[in-house]
Amino acid sequence: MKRVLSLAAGYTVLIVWAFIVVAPLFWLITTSFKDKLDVYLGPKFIPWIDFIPTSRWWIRIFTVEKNSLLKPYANSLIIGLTSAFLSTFLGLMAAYALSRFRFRFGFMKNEDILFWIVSQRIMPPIIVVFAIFIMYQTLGLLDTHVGLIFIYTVFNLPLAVWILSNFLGQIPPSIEEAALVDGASPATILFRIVIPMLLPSLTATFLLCFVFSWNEFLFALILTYSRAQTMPILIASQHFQRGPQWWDISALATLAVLPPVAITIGLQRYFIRGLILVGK
Amino acid sequence: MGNLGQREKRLLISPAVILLLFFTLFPFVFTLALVFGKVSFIGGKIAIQFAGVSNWVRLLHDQRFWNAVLVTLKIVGIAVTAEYCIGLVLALLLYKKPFGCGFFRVLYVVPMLLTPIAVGYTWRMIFDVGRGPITGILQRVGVNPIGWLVDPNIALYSIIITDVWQWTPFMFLLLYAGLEAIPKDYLEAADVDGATAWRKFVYVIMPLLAPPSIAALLLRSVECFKIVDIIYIMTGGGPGQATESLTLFGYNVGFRAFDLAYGATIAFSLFFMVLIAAMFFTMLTRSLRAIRLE
Amino acid sequence: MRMFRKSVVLALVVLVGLVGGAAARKYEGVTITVFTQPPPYIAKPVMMFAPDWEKATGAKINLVTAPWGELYPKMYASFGLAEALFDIVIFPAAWLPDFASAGFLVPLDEFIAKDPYIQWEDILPIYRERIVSWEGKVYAVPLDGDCHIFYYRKDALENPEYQAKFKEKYGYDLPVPPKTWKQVRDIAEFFHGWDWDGDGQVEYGVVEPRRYAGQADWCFFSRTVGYVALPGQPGGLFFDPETMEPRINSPGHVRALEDYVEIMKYGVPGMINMDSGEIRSVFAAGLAAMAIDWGDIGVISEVGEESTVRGKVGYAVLPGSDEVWDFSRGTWVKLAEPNQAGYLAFGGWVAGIAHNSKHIEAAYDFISYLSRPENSYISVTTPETGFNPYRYSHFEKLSGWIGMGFSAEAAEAYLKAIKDTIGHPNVQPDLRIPGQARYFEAVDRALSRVVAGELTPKAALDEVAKIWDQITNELGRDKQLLYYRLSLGLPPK
Repeated sequence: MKRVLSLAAGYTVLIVWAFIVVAPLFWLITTSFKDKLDVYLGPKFIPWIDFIPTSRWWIRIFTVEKNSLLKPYANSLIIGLTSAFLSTFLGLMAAYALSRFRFRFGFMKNEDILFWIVSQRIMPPIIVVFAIFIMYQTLGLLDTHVGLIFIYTVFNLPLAVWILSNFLGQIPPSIEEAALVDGASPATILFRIVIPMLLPSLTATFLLCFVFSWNEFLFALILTYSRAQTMPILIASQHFQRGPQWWDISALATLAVLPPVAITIGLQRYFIRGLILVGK
Repeated sequence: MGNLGQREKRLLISPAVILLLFFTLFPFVFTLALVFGKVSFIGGKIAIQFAGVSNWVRLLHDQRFWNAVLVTLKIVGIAVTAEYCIGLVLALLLYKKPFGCGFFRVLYVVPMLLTPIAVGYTWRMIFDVGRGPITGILQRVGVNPIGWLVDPNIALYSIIITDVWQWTPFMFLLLYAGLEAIPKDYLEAADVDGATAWRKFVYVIMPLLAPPSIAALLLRSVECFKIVDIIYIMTGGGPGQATESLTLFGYNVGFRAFDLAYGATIAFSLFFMVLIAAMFFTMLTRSLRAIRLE
Repeated sequence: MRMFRKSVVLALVVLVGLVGGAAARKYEGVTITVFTQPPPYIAKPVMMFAPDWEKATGAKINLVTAPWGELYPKMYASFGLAEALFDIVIFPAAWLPDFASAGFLVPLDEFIAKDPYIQWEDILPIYRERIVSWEGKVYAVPLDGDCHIFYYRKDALENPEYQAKFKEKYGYDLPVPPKTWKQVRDIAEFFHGWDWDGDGQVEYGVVEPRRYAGQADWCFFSRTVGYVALPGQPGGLFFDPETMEPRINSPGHVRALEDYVEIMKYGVPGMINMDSGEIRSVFAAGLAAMAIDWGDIGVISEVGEESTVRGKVGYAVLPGSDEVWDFSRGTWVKLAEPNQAGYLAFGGWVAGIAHNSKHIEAAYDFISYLSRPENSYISVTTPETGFNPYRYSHFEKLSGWIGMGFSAEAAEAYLKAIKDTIGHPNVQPDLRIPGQARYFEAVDRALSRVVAGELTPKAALDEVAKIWDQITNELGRDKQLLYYRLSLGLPPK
């Protein structure tokens, strides 16, 4: 009996939280199907009962506003995927180096170097934003894909290095050493032994970096104008002279959540396994 | 493994180090220089003069600064704690993989994937005192509407609620992974010994969860200190100063009042706060490691 | 034979000349970058007129936009480069002193003098002589006229039954439109919290912007102008024109701020978080009896899809006060007739050419195209452009307004209110000196704190006065005084 009770209690909690998660999302999606007056004279809850849903905003996004939508969407994808890949790859290289070799840069040993790299994550972006703006202006990197890719790679690099060096620290180098003795080249070791072993952590890192880049706001706001505009900026600029365009914002936000959700569903098994050893 | 050449070693690590040096060290130093200076726009050109520690003096005497510190600390303290507790409960319920756990796992992750700007707008709609769903429901049960974003005493908690909604998944994932990593034998041994669920939790699970917990708390706190997007969209820092976090304060001063040197000072104060918090957690990890080795 | 060959060559030359001449458009191959807010407001006219202009001149228009808060810093950055990122900048007139005094904009007097299309004299004097000129030269072309007017629901205030009840309760006839802020307060209280238009929903007294960084500061100044601007005493709103001492904390300002706070009791719920954009839709959705805004509420109410108040809106000059603070005597004076004044809030959007643009002539050509009477008339009578009338010719023809969806009656009333405000004998210009953004930012912050109950009006405004002094000293007191006097149309001291 006690078992049944505790089971029921457990599922109640799970369902309650599931409801808490879904309710705002429900509101978001239904608002994208509401007429303007249905929003201003709200709140209207259930489609077809409280209000008649309309698909005009969605249609408008994909026809009239197609160009102003497609570009930020494509930009976010390109910039997000590229910077996530670079962060993961460079992070892997650095983490591998730090966990397999001994370094000394002046007084800094491996542990210190690692700490320095990871501590970059602590720095609030607002500190560097203005300086980077000036830097980019001088270098002609303002409003370019490359510019944002650089800055996102840099800001996600510490995260990548941390996660990967944690995992690497757990794996004894014996397999690699054996391969070295067998005459394998460093490249072979890296690509045929290390990377397959690290696949869960690599996908977890990639996903996290991608999500952070996809949703980033401050740098995108300050360092781009139009050519490299990303989705968060597009959503934020729906706030016209008539007040927030709730229906457009809702539609765009719904669209914006699809790629991260898709990638997460696809990679979720690896994601969990990759995070297992983060804390150790 | 040490007999790989110097060259390969450096090659592996240089790209990361160079990028970081270039993109973070230089701006960092530049902003630091700003902190000790005074920026003015005379005739359209930027003029920077040396101003010693006057910016710091001004900061420490600025009630708006202390207000922002308090706001930020409250948000971090309450939100991160709530996210941890809720995340722990969810992780405990799901790590044994009961029926439907795959579905819950994926669902719970979704809020974290939304762009914070969108989350801000969503909850701004929901908290709307005239036309939001919460007001609608309250009115149907005969309760007066609550001024979620309008009442200076409540606005901060509305921000916290939004942050908890969005970032509990983060804690949940890390703790879930941590729980999954606990070797099954430990738990089975406890069962064999006849331990109750509570004792199992306190004496087996929590100690093993301590490292991932601290890592999760550290990561999440560091991020939470920088909170700005949600507040910017939902209240703009208001009503009055009720929800102005340090980052938002810095942004307002730097980009609205164009007082760049002071903005840089604010940004640095935030940096120090975060640094202290990070060092605290790191020390905790080290002492924990020391204990476990004994 | 020679004759034949010669004539063939001649014919060929003529032919090539004709074809070549037709194909050589004025600015072939040139790309002009225009920078402003994201569409539709302000950017829409650019998008509307670019294609025809491009066809005629062979140039290309590249429209670049950034959110409102980013405009100023990005324009500033572009002006500092060797070659401008933005050839044309469309910006609020309030920034003109900053840009012009720094030499960022190209003086346009010569272009205008040689331009047969722009009809410079058609532009209302206050715009062409004051708003876009600086130290005697013109630095931008107006594209939009701005002032604040007062809006009210005719179906509420003109209802005889409600008027009778109002007189019973307050002891005087309900003035339509109200002429003082005290009357506005009474009317707001009267219409607050019940369903007076019979649509099954509760309505409220007023809706005005109060949100920080939501253009609430202009709303405050609109409410202040009647208290501090006595005819014949220029400069009441901002500084003393003799000493540059801030006037922001005068008893008139404090009284206006007290009104500003008190009226919130009768405002739409959530008003404290609303910016100037949101209140427009709220008023158009029928939720309030009165509002203050630029011309946008009028357009949205008569034409907008989210409007339930078509034909029910009244338009008027801003209310004022029968008690005015007299700066020269340092006391309140009571007047027989309420003192109302117009306030040219914001000054309007104007288009300027960057000094470091490589295509100045072509840029001017496009700006002129946007501003010429026929085209600007289309701009101000098309919904969602955000451009309000600024030329005499805009007020004369009603057809465009009716074509937009106004009734003839509404169009006349709307235009009358705007014209009366702009042409008011006691019209007050907005603050037009370098650093305007910083002065206003201090006010904006103070307002949001007072409204949240953190500071009293007097304490807040005293603090603002201190900050204003700091800014003035930093920018050079004598220079600021000179610029301030120029902006008021006063001679230098």
